Amino acid sequence: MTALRLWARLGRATGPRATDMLSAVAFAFATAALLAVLGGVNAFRLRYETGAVDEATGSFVLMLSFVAAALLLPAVWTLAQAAVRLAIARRDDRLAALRLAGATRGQVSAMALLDAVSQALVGGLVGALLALAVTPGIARIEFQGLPFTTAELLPPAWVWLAAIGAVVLIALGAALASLRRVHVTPLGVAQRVRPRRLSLWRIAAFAVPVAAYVLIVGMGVIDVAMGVSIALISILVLSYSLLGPLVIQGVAWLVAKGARSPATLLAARRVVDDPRGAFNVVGAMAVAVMAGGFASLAPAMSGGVDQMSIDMATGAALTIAIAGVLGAVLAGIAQSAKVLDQRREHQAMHRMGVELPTMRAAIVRQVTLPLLVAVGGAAGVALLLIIPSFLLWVQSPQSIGTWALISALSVVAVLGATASALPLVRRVATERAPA
Amino acid sequence: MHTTQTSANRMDATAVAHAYGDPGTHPWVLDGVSLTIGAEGPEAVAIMGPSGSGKSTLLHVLAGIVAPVDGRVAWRGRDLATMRDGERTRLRRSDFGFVFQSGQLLPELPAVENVALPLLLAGQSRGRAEAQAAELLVRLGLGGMESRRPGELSGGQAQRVAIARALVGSPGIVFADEPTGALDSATGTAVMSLLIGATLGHGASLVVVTHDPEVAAACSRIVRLQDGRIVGDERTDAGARDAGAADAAAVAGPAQVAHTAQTAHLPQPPVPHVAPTHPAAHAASHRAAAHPASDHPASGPAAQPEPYPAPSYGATRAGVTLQGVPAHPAEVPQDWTGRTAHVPNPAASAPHPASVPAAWHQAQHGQQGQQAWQQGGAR
Repeated sequence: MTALRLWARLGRATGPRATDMLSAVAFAFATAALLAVLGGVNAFRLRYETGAVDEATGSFVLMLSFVAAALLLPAVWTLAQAAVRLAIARRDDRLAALRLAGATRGQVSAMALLDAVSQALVGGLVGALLALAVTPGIARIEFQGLPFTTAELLPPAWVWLAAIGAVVLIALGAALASLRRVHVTPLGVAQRVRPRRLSLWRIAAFAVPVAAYVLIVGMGVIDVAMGVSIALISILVLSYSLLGPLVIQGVAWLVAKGARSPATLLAARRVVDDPRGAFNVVGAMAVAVMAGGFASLAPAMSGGVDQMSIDMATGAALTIAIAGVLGAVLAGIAQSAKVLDQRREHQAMHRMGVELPTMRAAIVRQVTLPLLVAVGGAAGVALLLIIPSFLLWVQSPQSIGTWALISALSVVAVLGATASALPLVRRVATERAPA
Repeated sequence: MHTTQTSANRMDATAVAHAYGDPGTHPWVLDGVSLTIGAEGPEAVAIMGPSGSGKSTLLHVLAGIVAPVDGRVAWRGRDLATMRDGERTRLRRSDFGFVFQSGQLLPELPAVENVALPLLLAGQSRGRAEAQAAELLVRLGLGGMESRRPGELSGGQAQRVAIARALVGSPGIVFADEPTGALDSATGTAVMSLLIGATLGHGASLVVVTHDPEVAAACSRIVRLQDGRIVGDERTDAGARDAGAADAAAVAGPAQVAHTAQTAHLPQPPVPHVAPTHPAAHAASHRAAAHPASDHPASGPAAQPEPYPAPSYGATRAGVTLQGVPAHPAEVPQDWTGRTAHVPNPAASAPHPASVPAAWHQAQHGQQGQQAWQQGGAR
């Protein structure tokens, strides 16, 4: 029997499950976010190419839209990865049973990939519809003194196909990576060892752009064009993704050392174990918050009348909002996937008398800790570097107010979404343990 | 003759029946099981039976993990069914200990935090909980491995950590489901020896589900299940012999018990090796000789600050050092974990002589055991 027929037969036998739905939802949001970002880039490209805006402004805003896309794409990638984990979650036992029954490694791999790809396709199509649905809303936002038109925000058909194809490819890649883990340990035994400490070069990778920013932009040692300053800020902001996991691991290690409650101890140890995974959930939001901090200065710098600076602040707020939505979906999906991944741990904890609220608190703190460290750190870095220009903020409190408000709302949204994973804890912990 | 005691740590299962799903359409996994554990003091009870006979389900029902469809399970006279879910969870934490085949340790926590977890859950301070956990690990031969993750421990070492975690909260009863199922035979023997000795020495009963006749023979009582029903409930040779030793003790006192046990059927152990004390253990010793255990404590760091008392039911043989038999609770002012024992009835908490394997007496009352306890327990 071919892998495809076996997969179809098993699919009919088991029917859709909650994890399949969650996985498809994650793929849908990933696709919708990707298409929304590409739609924005497309709109700025059209305005630039058709001469709707002057060339200097057009090229500058187009560049900023690329920066915003670069900030958001890692979140899309992480979301798709989490979706794949859900797509093949709990398949390990079935795959192992199939191997024992004589299925080849190729057949088993193909079946897992079919699971991931089918859900990515379904999610991709739903995501495309979602992107279409939100486009009129996005069109109401005004950039460059003009509101968008729906037509501007709809990229060519090949872009849509490419976006869905990219999500499917991401699903394939992530599924292959997950399968490698299954193959390495066919019995599904996680051999967790001491967590690997992240390299300290990450500090240097962040310190260098910071130093360059302070010297060039802050102190004005070298006189550079505005574009160079923005490029430098973009590099600085993106390099925070390198520092973030290290800081999160360090803080989580300290929290674990001093933890008094079992929930905090568990959460902190889990974060220490996988700081990159923890940062991936909140990283895009943190980076967007930092970028937003810089961008919120723009209106004040230009006295609040310059269209480009207003666009920068609007773009930053929009980027934070999209990152917040992505972060929220990601937190809910990623924590659900983790609960399912750790089902044996939860069952063991339940048997030994760990109460469900303790397990749930650990799940929430597992997100809260990196969220506060990453987003708080990003906001702190932005504030620190902008201190010399602080008076500008005072002159234009509206932009900083918007920045702070959207950042706070995004944090709340992420925490709220994390709560969506909590009902799973009871189901997983109390289900009958495998004999 | 030995006098019958009334144990505070008593569990009564009465006409317990259970089916997974609607009993009308699903077969009964348990069908009218009645069982009393620890009626006369701590005992080691093996539950045996073919696959699908309901062993694990019975264990889960007794432990309050699964609510039976019918019947009653009472712990210290209180029906588990009358408790709310959260209350049963807290009961499992405070009164029960668990050792399962695998996957029970939290992989992200080092050994000492895994062991300390029940104490932290009970509200104890982190420092105190970890100090107690570390002390227990040292006594179980895992000194120097406190900071290792479960993934860095051998199967036998991980089971020792699980035993420490099961005992750290001073439970009244320990449930073990195939605790040696994932271990090689020699390591399994060592772990089982430790589990029985430490649990009974702690004043708790042990209920162990097993397929292994040698594991069962090491217990003082074997309950056999078939198709969800009890088809046998017998004392083992070890239990009967110890009952004889206890009879002598009733006349001659504890010191004589040790003497009787040693001279009657427990060859004086060579130092540091102890000869097998039980036919089953004896058979296992040959097996162990052929397959040296991979769980030798010496495989860990050299520093073993506090050696633990002498071996229990099994023996030290062929490179297998069996550790982990505590002093008799009555002989020390504090309980086995270093905390003041809080079992309501001290008389009842002492293991009933008839229920304790012979080598346990030997270890408790023998010179070696005494000295080792003084070294290990004086801290």
